[in-house]
Amino acid sequence: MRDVLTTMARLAWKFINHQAIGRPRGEGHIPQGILRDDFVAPSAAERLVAMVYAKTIGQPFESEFMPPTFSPVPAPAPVLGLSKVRVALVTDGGLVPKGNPDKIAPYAATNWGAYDISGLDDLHGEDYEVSHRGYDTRYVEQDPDRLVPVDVLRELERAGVVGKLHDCFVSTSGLANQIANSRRLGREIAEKLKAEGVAAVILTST
Amino acid sequence: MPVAKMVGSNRIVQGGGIVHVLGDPNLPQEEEKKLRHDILKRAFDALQHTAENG
Repeated sequence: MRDVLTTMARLAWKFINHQAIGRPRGEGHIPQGILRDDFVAPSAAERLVAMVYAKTIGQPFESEFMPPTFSPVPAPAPVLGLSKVRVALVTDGGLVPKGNPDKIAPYAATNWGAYDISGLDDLHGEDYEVSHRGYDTRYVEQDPDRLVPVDVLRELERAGVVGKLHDCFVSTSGLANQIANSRRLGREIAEKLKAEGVAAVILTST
Repeated sequence: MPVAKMVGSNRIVQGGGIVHVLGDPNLPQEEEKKLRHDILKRAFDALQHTAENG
């Protein structure tokens, strides 16, 4: 406690006196993800090789690029009575009907589509295409059930394992997308499915 | 899997690979369908059990 308060007081003093505050490691504050330009003697190539070398021989090293962090996601409660509830299939693998009616972009998609599967026991490659530039799509285009498993879900519905397969599947292309945009798409899809009485979702991700 | 974990997904089931999440084109059709069935069974098991926060 005393050490923390001492550090905080020193930082506060610097702050109110408009003094420069250094790096978190030296100053003792929590990293805030602020990037500042800085001149250093070794070139980027030299620093990179040094980092790879340290990593290879098991020595500690400090990356200059921090991966994004995500706030914790509270786990939804378990699904009760699966044999009575409505289940929907959602994918970020970009499966769309032939012609891509909603013009879902193959990367950085800004929209999603919902496609009717009522009355279908199986998806056929000739009826669909894939709008996604991030993976080899030929296996899904051969048999879309490899991404949106309508065939098995229909069997599970008949066997009473799940109550009902929702009448549409929802699809977008999850590739090279901003986090804020991805969140919006996810929220919109969840709101739609909730409003339609869906209690559980299988999200297949490529 | 690494991406799903990074973004905090709560219930993650490993599929049959990125290019055929719920299948394997090297298998005969019936066996591939069985594989799809098994992966979905694991997914439904996960849905019916308490998960940790992501």
